[in-house]
Amino acid sequence: MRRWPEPLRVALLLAPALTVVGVFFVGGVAQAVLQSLGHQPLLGESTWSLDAYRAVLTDPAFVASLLLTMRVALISTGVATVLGVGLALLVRRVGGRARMTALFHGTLAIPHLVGALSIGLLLAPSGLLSRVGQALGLVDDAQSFPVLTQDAFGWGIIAEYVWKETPFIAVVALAALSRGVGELEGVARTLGAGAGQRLRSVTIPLLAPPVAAASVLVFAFTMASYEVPRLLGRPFPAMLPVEAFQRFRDTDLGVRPEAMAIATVLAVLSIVVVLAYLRLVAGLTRRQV
Amino acid sequence: MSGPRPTAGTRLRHRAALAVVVLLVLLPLLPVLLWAVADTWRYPDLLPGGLTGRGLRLVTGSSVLGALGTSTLIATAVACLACAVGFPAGRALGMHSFRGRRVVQFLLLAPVLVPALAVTLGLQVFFIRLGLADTVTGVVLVQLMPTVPYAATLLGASYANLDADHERQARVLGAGPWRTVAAVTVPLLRPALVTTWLLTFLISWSEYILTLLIGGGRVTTLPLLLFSAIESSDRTAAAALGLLVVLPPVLLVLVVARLLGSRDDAFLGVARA
Amino acid sequence: MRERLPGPESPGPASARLEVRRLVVRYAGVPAVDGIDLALEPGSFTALLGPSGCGKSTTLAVLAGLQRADEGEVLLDGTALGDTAPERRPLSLVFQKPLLFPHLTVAQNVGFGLRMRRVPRREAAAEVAAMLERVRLDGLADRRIGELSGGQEQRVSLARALVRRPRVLLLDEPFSQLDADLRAEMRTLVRELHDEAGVTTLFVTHDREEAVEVSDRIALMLDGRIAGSGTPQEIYTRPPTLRTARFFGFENEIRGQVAGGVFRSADGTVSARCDLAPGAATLVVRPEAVRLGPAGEDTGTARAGAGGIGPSVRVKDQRFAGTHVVVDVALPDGQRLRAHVPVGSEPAVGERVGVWLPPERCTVLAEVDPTRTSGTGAP
Repeated sequence: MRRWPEPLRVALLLAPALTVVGVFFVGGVAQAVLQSLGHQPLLGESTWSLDAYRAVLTDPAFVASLLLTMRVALISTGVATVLGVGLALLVRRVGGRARMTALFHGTLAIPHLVGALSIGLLLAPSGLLSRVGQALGLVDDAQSFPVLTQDAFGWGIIAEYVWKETPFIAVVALAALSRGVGELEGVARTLGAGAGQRLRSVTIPLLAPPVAAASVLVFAFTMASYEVPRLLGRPFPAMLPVEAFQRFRDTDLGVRPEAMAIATVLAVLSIVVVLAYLRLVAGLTRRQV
Repeated sequence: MSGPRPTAGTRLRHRAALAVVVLLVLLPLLPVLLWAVADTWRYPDLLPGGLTGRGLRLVTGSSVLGALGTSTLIATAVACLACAVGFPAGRALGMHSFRGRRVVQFLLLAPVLVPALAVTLGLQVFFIRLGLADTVTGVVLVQLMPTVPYAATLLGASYANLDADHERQARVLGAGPWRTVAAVTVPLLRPALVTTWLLTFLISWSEYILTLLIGGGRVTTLPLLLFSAIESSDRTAAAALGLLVVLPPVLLVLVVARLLGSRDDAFLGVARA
Repeated sequence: MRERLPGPESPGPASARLEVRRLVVRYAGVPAVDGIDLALEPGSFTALLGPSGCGKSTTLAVLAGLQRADEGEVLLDGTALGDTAPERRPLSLVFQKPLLFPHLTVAQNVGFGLRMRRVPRREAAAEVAAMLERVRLDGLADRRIGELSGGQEQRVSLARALVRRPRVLLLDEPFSQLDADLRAEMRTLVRELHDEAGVTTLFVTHDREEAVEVSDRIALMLDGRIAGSGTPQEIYTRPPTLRTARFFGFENEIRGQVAGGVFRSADGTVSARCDLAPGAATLVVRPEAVRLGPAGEDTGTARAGAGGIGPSVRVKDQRFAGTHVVVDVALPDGQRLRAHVPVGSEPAVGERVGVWLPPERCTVLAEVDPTRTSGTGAP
């Protein structure tokens, strides 16, 4: 490191990371878009058209898939966020923060694939919950247990996401709570704020920025994960990543632009949703409380 | 901060609520544990009818041990490369102010938010063309996409908290620029580096779809074996493999969380592989 | 709002009498506050002075209701506060750090307490505006918190505490993190605001000068106990206790006995009139009150009938201290006595001088510190 000019130095420091992101990410997005428009790098001949988008958007399977994806992602994120924040507040109240944080960290480290396996073995018609129901006389047999996996609504998928992401939100909220929130709540008390007022006017607004950032990650993830909906969901309607991969794997290469179109829609959708969400949260925290 | 002391009843209710939480968190793992050693487990029995060592034999068989080796190799390579690439980028983000900073930050955030699957579908042809498809190298390279942004962002945050005067002090005491980084900066950032390494290792260790897309099923990692075991409805095999996949990351996280203390909670929190 | 707040001459309903009785707070069994008594008259301004770790902030937290007392009680106008939650106490506490709410603007921070009380928006806005003007922050109402300087932040904090018109204002070293000039400015502001509103104020500080300058009464707290209290003048001229004397710079302590209304040091060289009962006692005197004269001249008993040592003692040490010279002399029995003399008139080391202790500057206390022999407090 000689005394190189600052911009050059920054450029050199950033070069490896930006190369990775540029080649794989920007290149990948560009390729998905181009191939959805008819570019065929394998065959070498390209016929440009919007046919793939037209085909996808008029396909009831895609529409059902889109609705399912939004539903599962919204419910999972919402439930995990509320539960996670509530859990963090409970832990702070009761104590045992170190042990609970260790438990949450342990849960975070569980791969989603194992999570899908666990939830499957728990919630399937012949799963542990059904057996317990039978033992308690609540269920007659496996057939009469409510369908919670491979169901049309996506309960199994939601259960897995909530189980895995609630501890994540809780860890983030606990870390945020330990950064001076208690002091400010004390200040609010001396200024006459009761328990409910403190929660509404101090605790929640202070937790909002970090928790919002965390739940954006959760939302993006729940929209994009493949293995959980593949194992716990139905082939039809399938969530968007599954739908895209199915078409990508189709022996008919003519379907591949549709896979790319779905991939593009998924990418655009996640960015749009994230931006809208961030704007909403910024508005909420800045609002005159 | 005490104020009015909660009554005994309230305390008890809180403790009970927390106990329920712990149970709920651990409950889904129970059937996995039981199935891993279950010989026969008929519906509606609450417990397995007999125990078997089949699951244990399976996970110590040669194909699983081979996959274990491949998984470890790939995850280690990805974690090391991601840290190596993320470290200088983190330095730029944390210690320098420059034009286009927001663009760089966006570029490093986007791969975290945009589905990796959507991006990789379009890339696959190029891996085939370059002969990187179906190779370990190809899998390691594609896994850099979801890991490098995390590494750069996390290390950038800890670089921003680093007092640059430590480095100036080392320079004044006669250390050259590289010596300074090696003898002062890296030790000061060690907690962040350990966390980042661990996190990227976890992301790679858990990765399924990118490995399948680029490895073409020929690069067999543990998640791939686990996935097909779940598909095949061999619950004992799936559960035994599941335990093998889940144990290393959970142990690693717990050990590192203890080593680092509680101050890096939020850091680890991002480890959502 | 200015009209509604009673002035300092007529402490009306705005200010309350605050009394603390036998207050004890323990941390893990160890008392941090060890049975203190305090009485703050309506409209008074009291400084609770003490070094860090003496329990003064804990005391304040108990008064505000943020911390529970293990024993004793806090009375507001004669009514015990008991377990009353902090939010139900008509007190305001200004913390050491400004602790402004980062998600609110300056005006929203100041208006927080009014909003909690559900004061109508328009009325609250008017009061906030008036208060911002009084702390000279008008024009910054819509600023975000991150854009303020340290002094501005603490002024917002002060305004936030005062706008709810507390009956007692508690200040926990509010300026200790500001630099010296700003601290002086803030002291003046606090005193002004107090005089305008007449609110009973308790000001915790570790800074002697700050306590003396700003308060009507000082209570010195050491090791969890009140070591002495009085007006700043009393504390500086007639310290009530030995520990108060030491804390306020009475560096010279001479041990002796009181008999028949006269204090006499052990070797008989120092004597002073006092109205104490017979027994062991300590005479304390500031170094700047000690006079040195030429050797051989009897400057002591003959002239004052008190506090004189003659004819001569030896100068052990002397050191230039800017505005004066610090001179240590050895008394006949080997004890050391410290004097501050004007620059230029200091005796040389080894020289013999006479010593005179002006009686009106000597205080005799019916206490002795068993761990110390008499002589100068400084080693």
